[in-house]
Amino acid sequence: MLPVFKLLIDQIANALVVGLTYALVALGFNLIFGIMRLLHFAHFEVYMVGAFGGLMAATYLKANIFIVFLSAMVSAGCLGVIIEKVGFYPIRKEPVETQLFSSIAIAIILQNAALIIWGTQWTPFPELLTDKTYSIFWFNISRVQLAVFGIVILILAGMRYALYNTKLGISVRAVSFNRDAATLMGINTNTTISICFGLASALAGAAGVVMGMYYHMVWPLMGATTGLKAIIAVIIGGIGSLPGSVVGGLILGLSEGLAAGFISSTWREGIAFAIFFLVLLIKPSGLFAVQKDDKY
Amino acid sequence: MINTNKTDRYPFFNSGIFYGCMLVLFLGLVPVIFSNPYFLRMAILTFIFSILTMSLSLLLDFTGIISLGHGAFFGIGAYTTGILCTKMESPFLLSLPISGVVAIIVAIAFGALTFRTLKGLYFTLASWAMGEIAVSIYMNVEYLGGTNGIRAIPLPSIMGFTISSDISFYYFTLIFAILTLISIELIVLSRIGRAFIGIREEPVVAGVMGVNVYLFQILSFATAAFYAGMAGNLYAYYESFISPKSFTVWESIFLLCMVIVGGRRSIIGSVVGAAIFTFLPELLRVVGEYREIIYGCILLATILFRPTGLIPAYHFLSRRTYYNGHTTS
Repeated sequence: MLPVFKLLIDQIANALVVGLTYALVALGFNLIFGIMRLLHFAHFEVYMVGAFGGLMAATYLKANIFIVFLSAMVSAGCLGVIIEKVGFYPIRKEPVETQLFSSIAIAIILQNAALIIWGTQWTPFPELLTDKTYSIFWFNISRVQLAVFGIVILILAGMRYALYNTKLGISVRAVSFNRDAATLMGINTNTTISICFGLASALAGAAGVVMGMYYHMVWPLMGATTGLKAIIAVIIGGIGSLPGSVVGGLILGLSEGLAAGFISSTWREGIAFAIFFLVLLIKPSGLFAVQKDDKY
Repeated sequence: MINTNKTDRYPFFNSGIFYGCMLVLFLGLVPVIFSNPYFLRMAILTFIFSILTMSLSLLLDFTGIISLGHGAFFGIGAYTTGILCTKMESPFLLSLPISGVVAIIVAIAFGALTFRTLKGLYFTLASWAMGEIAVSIYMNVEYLGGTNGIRAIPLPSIMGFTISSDISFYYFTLIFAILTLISIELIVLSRIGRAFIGIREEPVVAGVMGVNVYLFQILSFATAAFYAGMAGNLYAYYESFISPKSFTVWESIFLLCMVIVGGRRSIIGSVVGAAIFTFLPELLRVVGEYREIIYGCILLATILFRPTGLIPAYHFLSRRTYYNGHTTS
């Protein structure tokens, strides 16, 4: 078999894992954008904090994989609610850009706090699953990758169910659609927004653990490097579209893997952002745009 | 009506021009009194960054465009200078306009592509992508020195006079900062500035009033890029060494922080912001590693408690602020 195809096939499983993780972060980002019209830069730092929350549980409590995920999601979710109450609740009436800057300020604070607490070095993430590779014909897939697929798909399906079939999800969608009308219909907007931040942050926390598990390490700058790519995934897929986030994450993961494999890994970021820029130019609303949102 | 306000009998002494002259006099005398090299270095960096923040203020506060690509234009200026000086031995008087013009060309190309379709936060995202692509190019192109950057940029010389000492650099950058301040004030106070402010307040209404929104947005973007390119030129000469690390998107974000903390409705405010963020690290030496967190906290506190920034709306060349909308918070 041609080496090119072998490389391509090897990259696909890798890209799927990375893409699905981006999709997890992107989904939360998307929820927050939908409900607040806010580019929540601090979301990626929440993802990083979630990864460290999982790390703490795994190293100090020697917890199993479910407890690790749970603790990461709870810590990230609580952080998300705190961020919303401190950083966005007081300025909800201010213009969108003020909220954007507030988000940037929170991102700076969280990132540097993490740098002080955990240092600038990579911290190894304990092995939660013993690794084993299965191969079907030429297609190799490891146990960790399979576990990641399982967990991410479970979470995505759960979110889908929660957003479309529960009362809470319906109120979240109502507030995203029109906040004033939702308030008039008796929905407690403040609580809904807080819950939405909590949920979105919990998803980011789970994504952080997935990344830690997959690469066996976490570091305080992971939010600023890998986490920020999720925003690109959202835009490529289309803001407000759930399958769009997943597809955007996949496109990004695949393009990065292929760029690293075929050109050079140092160009990886540049190519990801070039794709992002092209999508913005050609179809600003994203590949899977749900509605045309001209304003932001 | 008898005017009891004594100062109004001498309107000149109450005008912005007078205050400006006093400030310039003060800044001119400072290095004579404090010639501490560390202080001079901070002051020079403040002047260079204030050129960046003033131009960003024109973009952010007066045209309402949030750009995360300002660091990229700063980098374009610095790299143009680096290439011109190390590989082509160009003199200062040639490299300064060329760095500005290269930045303008990139800004016009980028603006022409994006302003037509992208509005508000989508433009912010596109400018962010541009910043990242620029850094990626600086990092990977061999001709630009890769991650090592460009070293040994010679000192600038104007007509046989070489600017070598810190004190001469102080006056050199001070002159450029003052020129930038005056020219941006003049732009903001002119008809063009009014068009910019109209676009900031309501693009549709500005369009109805006959302002070509697309063209004026490109104009504002290109003007800001021109100043940023020149600031990059000065920075390259001063540091004599440039690397991609100085021009990342985080740098652009810090520039935005300076503008926001300094003041959202005045050009002079962004100078104050640049000064705060350059001198603060030194004042905060005692707290060491908590410095950046304190940056973040200052930014958050400013946004939460004084969203219009520290300095209120003020134009030292004009006493009228009425058309400027928000005179105070």
